[in-house]
Amino acid sequence: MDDVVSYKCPNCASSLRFDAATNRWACEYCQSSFSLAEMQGKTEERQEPLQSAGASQRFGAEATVFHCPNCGGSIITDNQTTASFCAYCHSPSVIASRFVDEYRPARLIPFQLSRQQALESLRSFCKNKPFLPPDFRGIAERGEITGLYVPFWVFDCDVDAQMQGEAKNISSWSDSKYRYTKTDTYRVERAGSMSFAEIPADGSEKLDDELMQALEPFDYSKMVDFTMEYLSGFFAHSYDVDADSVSAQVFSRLDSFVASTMRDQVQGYSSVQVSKCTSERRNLRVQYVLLPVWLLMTQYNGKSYLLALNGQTGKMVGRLPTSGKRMLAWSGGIFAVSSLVVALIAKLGGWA
Amino acid sequence: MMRKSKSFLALLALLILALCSVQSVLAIPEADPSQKVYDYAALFSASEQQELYRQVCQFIDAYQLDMAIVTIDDDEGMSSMAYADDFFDYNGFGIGEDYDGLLLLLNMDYREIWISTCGLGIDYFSDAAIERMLDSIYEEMVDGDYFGAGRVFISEASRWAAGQGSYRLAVEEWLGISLLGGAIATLIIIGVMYLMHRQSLPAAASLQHYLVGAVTLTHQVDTFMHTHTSRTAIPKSNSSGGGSSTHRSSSGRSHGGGGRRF
Repeated sequence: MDDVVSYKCPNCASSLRFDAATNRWACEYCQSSFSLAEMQGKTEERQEPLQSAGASQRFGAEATVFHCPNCGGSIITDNQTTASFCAYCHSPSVIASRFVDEYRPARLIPFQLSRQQALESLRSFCKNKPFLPPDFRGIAERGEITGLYVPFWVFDCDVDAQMQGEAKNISSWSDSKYRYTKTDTYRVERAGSMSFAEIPADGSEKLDDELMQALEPFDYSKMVDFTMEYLSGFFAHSYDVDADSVSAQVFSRLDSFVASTMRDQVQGYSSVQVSKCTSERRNLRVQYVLLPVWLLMTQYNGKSYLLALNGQTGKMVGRLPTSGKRMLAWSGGIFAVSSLVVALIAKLGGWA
Repeated sequence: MMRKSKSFLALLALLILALCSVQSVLAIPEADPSQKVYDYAALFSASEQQELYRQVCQFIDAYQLDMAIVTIDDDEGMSSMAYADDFFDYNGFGIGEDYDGLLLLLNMDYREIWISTCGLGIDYFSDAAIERMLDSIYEEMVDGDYFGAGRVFISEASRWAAGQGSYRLAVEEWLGISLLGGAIATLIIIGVMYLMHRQSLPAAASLQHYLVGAVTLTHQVDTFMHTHTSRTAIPKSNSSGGGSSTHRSSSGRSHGGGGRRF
């Protein structure tokens, strides 16, 4: 039995949304707002009996139907969706039963940027991009924009590493006849340990790993313990790639970073050649967290472009379309100006 | 016996050499080096000679290089190169201790243009410069405009000397180089702009951000293994400025230059 929660205003019983700007829950109808403590204290009494939406039915493994506790309309979601909106009354709904046991995130970072701020970020992201088609921004603004809590695995671990290599110091001098080059060769050995905290990797099959990695870093100091209330007013997914599956990607990032860090421990030589570098991981810990991401899906010239915005820091990433016409126009302008500059330099330099 | 024949051969060789040089010296007409234009082949009118003389004097004043224009219809069996070099050397042309200057020989006997350079003239007029001057003079010569050839020689020489041996571009070359330079600059700038455009999806950040504290080194050993010193000879710097090839004339001086049949 899947349950749906809609957080109700203790004053007027309309649906509450989490407001990223104030970090409070706001009621759009009676203008009241509540802190987390107030929410947990007051709203519980007013929660609808969740079983009343109980006539949920499943078709296959792909989708599930819930009933909106607000209006009774059907909410159809895929199996990863944990927070959504009712298609009929648009009230935010959180599917409580999907946060049980291993699907319950340990912590989350609440959204700190509102939808409006996300649109402003899009505007500044599209500025100073000379090859961007001029109408792209407008189309992107009218496109689909979704505040999504993305499931992430964050890895803590300690690493012991050993490195061996050959380092060279090369000096040279010359007298009237010869140039001398002296090469001193050393064997260098380093061993050390380092610890890492909260390396993130997204646990969503659907989202592009490259896109999610580009969104880093998040500021973990704003991380709070998970409560469902934060999800109200946003979309949320639960993970569909488990920690074991994403660990390979994390470890390969980790290994290459450890190798280059150990290489950097050898200082004061002209060149360093690493012959062997081994590392061992200790104290591996994984946590399941939700991180805030605004997703902007745009259809442009029949192709879809997905832009992502770090819902905390405002960093925006994504592939942008390229306008051939604009590129040509810029090429023409630059060609004219630079040809003129070369001609002038030649003239002033006395070559022509 | 052996020694005798050897020294006899050496003597004979010396005699032939001396004879040759005497012959060439004799073949070269004596000339007053201040006259500057020597029209033995009678190619110029009196007024044309006057005009060329005036321009040559201007050139000498402007660049402190001596200049002479010589036309001949009998090369006395000498090569144009030898004739031009000897005319320059034995008639006392050249300014300063290095005999800086250049000379244009129009050899109507062998139908050849020859430019001979000496001293600073060798540095100012590289082989490439000589080739370009010959190109221009050649066009006038095949048209039969000998006065034009003389004038072109002086103007081209001025163009090169003004750039102190550096290349002065013709208008179409200037245009071509400007457009080429513009195209290369455009390719580079547009390339960089395109890469920046693609940068809207940056690579993942370094894990430095997730590193807690610093690296704790538990083992750090640097062992000296061996040393090796190699030496390479420093190449002697080549002082023949700007790609001018030279040869030695019968007087023993160095000359540069080149020629072309017409």
